Amino acid sequence: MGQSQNAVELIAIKKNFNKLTIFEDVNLQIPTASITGVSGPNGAGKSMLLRIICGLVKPTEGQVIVFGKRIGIDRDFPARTGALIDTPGFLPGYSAAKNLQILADIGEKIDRSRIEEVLNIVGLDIKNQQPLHTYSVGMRKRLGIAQAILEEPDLLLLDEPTDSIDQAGWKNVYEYLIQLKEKGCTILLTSNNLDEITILCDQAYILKNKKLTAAG
Amino acid sequence: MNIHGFLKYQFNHFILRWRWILPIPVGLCLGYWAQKVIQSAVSSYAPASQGNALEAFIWAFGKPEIVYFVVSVLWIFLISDLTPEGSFGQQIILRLGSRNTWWMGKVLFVLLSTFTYALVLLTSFFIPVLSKYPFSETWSTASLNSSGINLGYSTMNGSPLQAFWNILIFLIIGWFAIGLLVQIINLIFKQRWFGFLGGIIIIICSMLGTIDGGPIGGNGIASFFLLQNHLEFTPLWVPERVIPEIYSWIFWAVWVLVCLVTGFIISRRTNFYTVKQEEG
Repeated sequence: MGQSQNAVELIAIKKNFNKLTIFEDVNLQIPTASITGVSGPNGAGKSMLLRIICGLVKPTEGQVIVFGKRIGIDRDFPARTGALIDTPGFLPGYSAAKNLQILADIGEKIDRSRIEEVLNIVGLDIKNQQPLHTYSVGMRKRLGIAQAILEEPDLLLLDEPTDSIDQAGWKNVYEYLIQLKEKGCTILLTSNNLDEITILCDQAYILKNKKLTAAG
Repeated sequence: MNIHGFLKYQFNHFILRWRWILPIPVGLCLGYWAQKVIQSAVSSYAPASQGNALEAFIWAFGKPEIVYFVVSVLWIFLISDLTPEGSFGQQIILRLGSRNTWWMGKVLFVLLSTFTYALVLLTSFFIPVLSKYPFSETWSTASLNSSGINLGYSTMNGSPLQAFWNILIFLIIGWFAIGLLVQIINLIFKQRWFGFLGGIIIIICSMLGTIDGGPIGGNGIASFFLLQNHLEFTPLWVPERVIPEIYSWIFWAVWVLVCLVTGFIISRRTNFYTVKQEEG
């Protein structure tokens, strides 16, 4: 399989869950170094779509190709991919920095300065040693974004990234996402905030009535 | 792929938590109970002789009620939520990059947990026992005379040390194998408590099997396939082994192999959704 111009290609994806079809015949090409937005009503399957792209969930039919590799055939999970899907998960007894350190120990070697940098980007302080169970929903969301961008991924999947984050926080996140794109990162985000999609995205889609269609 | 990092994370997340304190009081209570039983035997049958700490172990861990209803149930509880993965675990999986590596990491962690459990439980058990009796490689006079504490072990199973290792090795292998099965059940049903429930049912059924009594594994070909004939080296009340040891090794090897392969197959097919259960 040759290297494609598209970072992500979805070919005729169908997903059934509990005998219900969530979506079908989903085709999507996401160019490298672009930001793509997907919006749609609650329960349309936006999070499921992200799970399928990052290999956590297998499609009922169809093929997912990320950076030229067929997910589930050539690779189990796409390489160098960061993801924030649904509610971010943490170890609540540890601090934000410790949570990131644990992930860093599993993946690529990340030094402490990178953890500090990532926490700064999302507006959290590395010196805050409070365990995460004391964090607000918004702070948890920020840390979820930090998890996703920790290893400077080539593909970033974000599920409603600014949901429950205050407006001051949006600005930091938007600026960073645009910087990432300029560095060559491909970003797919879901959002019901049309302003967000308009500001950030090079292309936008709507997932509705089991179909993915290009937004006008 | 960093399996070492994965194991370290699992150790911190799944072992360094409050529920893993439980083997300590359980071990201490069992040790105290066993020490009292030995004390009673020593004073009744051989007032002049010394007791043996290993005989206390053989008494406690050769007793089906303790093995099935206490230490094995506790073991299943401790490892019943290693799978399926929560949201944080899914971040780990993405970084591991491979479903096979993830399952291998789980298997190795069940093994690590088994040894940790045995270590914590036995250390706690021997604290009260050793405060009263020393380790000895020979059977005490009390044990040779008291059916209450050895029931023929001294004449049928070599030295106390051999009996100790026989019992411990089969318990550790059995716990590891049952631990893997619990994870498989969890993965199949995508619920953490299903594995716990399945494990408990297996343990209770095994206990019911031993109530029948009789020499261990002595009732036809079916007995070769029964868990209770392999988890315990011999129960105290029937201190003889009709099934040769080699069949127990084969039984557990096949069990572990089937779980290992099934785990690989399931992990290749499974979908990682959000687990509602809170992390931690």
